[in-house]
Amino acid sequence: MTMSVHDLVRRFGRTTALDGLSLELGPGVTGLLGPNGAGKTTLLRILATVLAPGSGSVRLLGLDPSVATQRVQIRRQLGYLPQEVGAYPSFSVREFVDYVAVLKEHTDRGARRREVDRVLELVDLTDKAYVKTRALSGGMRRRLGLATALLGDPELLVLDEPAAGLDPRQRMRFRELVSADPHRCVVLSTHQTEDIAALCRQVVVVDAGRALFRGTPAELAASAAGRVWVGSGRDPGASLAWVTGDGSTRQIGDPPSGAQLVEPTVEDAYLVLVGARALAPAGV
Amino acid sequence: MAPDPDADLLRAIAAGDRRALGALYAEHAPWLMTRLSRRCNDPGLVEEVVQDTFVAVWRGAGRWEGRGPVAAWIWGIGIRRLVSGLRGRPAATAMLREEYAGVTGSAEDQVLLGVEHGDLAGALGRLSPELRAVISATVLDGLTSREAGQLLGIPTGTVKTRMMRARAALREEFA
Amino acid sequence: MTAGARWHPSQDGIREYVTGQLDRVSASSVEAHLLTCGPCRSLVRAHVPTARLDAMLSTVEDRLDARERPRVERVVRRLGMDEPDARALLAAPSVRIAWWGAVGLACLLAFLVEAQESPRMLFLLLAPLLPVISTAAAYAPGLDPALPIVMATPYRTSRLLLARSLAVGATAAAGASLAGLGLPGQRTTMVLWLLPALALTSMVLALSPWLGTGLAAGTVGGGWVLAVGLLEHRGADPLVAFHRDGQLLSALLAAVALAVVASHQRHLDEGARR
Repeated sequence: MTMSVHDLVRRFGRTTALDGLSLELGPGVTGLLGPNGAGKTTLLRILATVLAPGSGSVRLLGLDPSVATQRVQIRRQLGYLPQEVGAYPSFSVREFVDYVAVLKEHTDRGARRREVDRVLELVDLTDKAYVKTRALSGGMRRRLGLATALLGDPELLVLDEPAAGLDPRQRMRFRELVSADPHRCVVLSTHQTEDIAALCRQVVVVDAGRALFRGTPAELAASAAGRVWVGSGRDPGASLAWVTGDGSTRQIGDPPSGAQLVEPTVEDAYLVLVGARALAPAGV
Repeated sequence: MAPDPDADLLRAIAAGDRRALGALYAEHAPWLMTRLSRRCNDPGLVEEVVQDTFVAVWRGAGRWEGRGPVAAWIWGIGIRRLVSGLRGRPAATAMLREEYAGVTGSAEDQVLLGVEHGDLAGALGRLSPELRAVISATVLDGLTSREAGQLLGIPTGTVKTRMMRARAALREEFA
Repeated sequence: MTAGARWHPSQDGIREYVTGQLDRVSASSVEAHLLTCGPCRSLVRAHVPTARLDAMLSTVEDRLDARERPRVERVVRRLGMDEPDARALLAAPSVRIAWWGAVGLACLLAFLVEAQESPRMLFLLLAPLLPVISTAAAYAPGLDPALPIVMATPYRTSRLLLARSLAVGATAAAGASLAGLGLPGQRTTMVLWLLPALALTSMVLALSPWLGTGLAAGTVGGGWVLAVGLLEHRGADPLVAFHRDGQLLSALLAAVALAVVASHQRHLDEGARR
């Protein structure tokens, strides 16, 4: 297995972000789905080796990130896109990617220049190469961060909300990019269930620091079989209901007898698992 | 005169566009290298001069006055770099001076090539090597009298005298 | 010449020109022509090996890249620093701010020293605070917005933060020393403050992971001022830190604090605290 964590616990003061989470990831794209505050970012930071767990074991590419020499080896094969891309405001796009490339041991100037050109081209930022990072929109900053993560074509990609702020065309491009190499292990967090369905070989639903579900998107959707129906108004057995575009009410929960059941989507199954917490604002 | 696409490239270069520099390089480095190689038999120096030239193009793109073809401006930078690179290297300069003095082609060659300057070529060929050298350096390569003097190892005054004599000789031919 | 048609050298003519077989005068014709004819230039291009041209362009790009680096970086590299170290040291704006802050504070100290009647006391009290403040500003991980991305690279985070603190701390120490040049009296004053300064700065670095750099600096700096104030109030000699026992105590505190800092480096690299 390329990435595995076992009984991961991490606390910040009195908050428990991860509560005994275990996970195994191999090649291909794994999606982390979960409400705000579920622990996705904490998990991703641990997988990216920028945060140490409180307890539990972590193995990345078979190496142990708590051992200094192995940690450096892991980082040589790692690309990380954090929640916030803190690029220096006075740097140009190109300059920032070049800086990260230097830190990633791309010592040869000519080769490094070509590599920077390559990743900027992959994320469609070539035209903006000389624009200062302070002038970038939110979506462009994500792409800038993604470019730095792609430097050196790493075996492990850890991406925190990579598709946030991307328009549909850019999202398509992003999906192509991320799934281009089937041998690469990619773990990403997202709120978009369509990304999960379209992109991920494996999906993990995380809530309150634990993994509630591990499996393929199809299995996730199927897990809500018999729990999703449509009606004209809200039924008593529904834990969640909303009016869809055609005016009918889609409902999740315990269907009354004779209800018109529908094929559940990944989103439906996610809502079944996580319930009302999925719709709550962060911190609740 | 047709609009020069290189002028647009120079404008982009002055604005900091590296790709425009790459495009200008692709267009002009090959002939520049060839033309310089015919004046200097040291390939290392020629390479250096070409590189120096394009670094200078990058730095000075904003200073191009917009007169004449961009290629001519680039040549001006290049030949001057070569001349200063050759300073203090009499052996290499000798080749250049020989080139300038030149060997005339046969009349047949000139007809086959349809040489652009018509019989001017023949007239040049009939000048003495010293006069031809001065004309080559100043008129054809665009050096100033002083630069030509430094290159050919003669005082500036002598350059000017020879230019006058060459002009007089050519005028006679075409009179 | 045919009216209206433009003269071009033939393909053979170009080939002969490039291979040097053409006489000088004809070659001059070709050369003059090339200045204004793109298509004929392409013909010349076909004769020049692309690999060589590409290599030369790469060198040009390298030179332009090198010219674009900030002057500070070029100076530092000429002094022998590796590219990754130089870039990591200078990238974050917080480092530059802290450095200039150090210079500014040193000037302020110099000014105060000039203005006072008995500057020696003032200097010895304030000088140690300079490296404390400046180093804290450079060391604070939170002040480098790119740190999450930087941490995930093979470049060691601890090396980065230490290099920054060292650069800024050394500048602060040098600045304060220069400010002390204006002091009347013995030259020993100028070195007496160094060990206490080292002790205080190390303690700030040692306490940073638990208190955060800002609070650590505030606590240590405030503690120093308080201690001196108390001693003065009690009528004891507030300059006791600068006499022999004080120097020994400072050295001891510095050693312990630095040992703690050394043990931190591992935690910095693996992100244990945050």
